[in-house]
Amino acid sequence: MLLIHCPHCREHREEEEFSYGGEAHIVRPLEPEALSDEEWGDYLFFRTNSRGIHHEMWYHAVGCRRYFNATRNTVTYEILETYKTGTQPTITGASA
Amino acid sequence: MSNSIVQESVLYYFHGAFNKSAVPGSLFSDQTDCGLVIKEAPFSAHLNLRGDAADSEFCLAVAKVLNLTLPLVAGTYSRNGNTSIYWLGPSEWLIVEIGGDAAVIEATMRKALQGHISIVDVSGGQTSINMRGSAAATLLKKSSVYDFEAWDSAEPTAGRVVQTTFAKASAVVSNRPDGSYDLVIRRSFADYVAQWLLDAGAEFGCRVEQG
Ligand SMILES: [Zn+2]
Repeated sequence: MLLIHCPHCREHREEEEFSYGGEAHIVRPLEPEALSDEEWGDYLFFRTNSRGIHHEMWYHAVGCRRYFNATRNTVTYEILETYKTGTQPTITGASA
Repeated sequence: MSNSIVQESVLYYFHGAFNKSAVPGSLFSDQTDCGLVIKEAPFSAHLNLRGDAADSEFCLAVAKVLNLTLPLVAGTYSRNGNTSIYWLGPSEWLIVEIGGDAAVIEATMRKALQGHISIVDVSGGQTSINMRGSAAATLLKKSSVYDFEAWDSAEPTAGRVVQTTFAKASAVVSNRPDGSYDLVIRRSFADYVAQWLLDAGAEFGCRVEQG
């Protein structure tokens, strides 16, 4: 069981209240029709699957019902920080 | 055939329910020594409000209509008489008026509020219950994953609200100045939650009062 800090509720809450939302910071192509099938396929289906630092979305499903981002170490499961959608992480693969 | 419609509250069939563990000597003891008493606040107005917390005009308009400050601090609520407004999220609130008329509140608010807002009457989808008694806090702790003890050292201690799990269902739990707790539960989970309360409260003695 993880205790996850929700940046909206401003407190640590039980993992049971959250659901995982996949990799964060994936920008939707502005002109999807201009992409090749391969590029569109990459955007839709391919994820970085990092070992170590990973930025991902979490949804506070039974709490404030808002999405936010988390930086998690995929090896140790340690959540290093959580931050609001639209903001940037302070901990990145380069800084760790 | 009768044409009259009998209004039954969500927990109508639980009114008067009583459960107590068969502890020797206490089996037929008086119901008044229950550690947990549940009371429904039936036929109340519940409205979900969305709007921009950074828009001071919106906040002031809500405050003026409800005669209540719009809570902007996470996990707090304000109350005035029978009306409460609970913080649900950074742009979402729940308004509950015990015995209130949701249609009247909605119409008044629509007139007073401008811009990108949403008001939804959710009265039919949920109900509010009050939990009091010496075992109320203990029962919350064993039913929910939320750390209610944190409220003892929270700032402010009073007027706290949290949306969390209760018996694996979702609930909006808030504390009252008299030491009791209010729970807003889904109508569809109400029978289950009531049965859970009766079962979980059996060790302290639990009864449901008419709302
Ligand atoms: Zn939250």
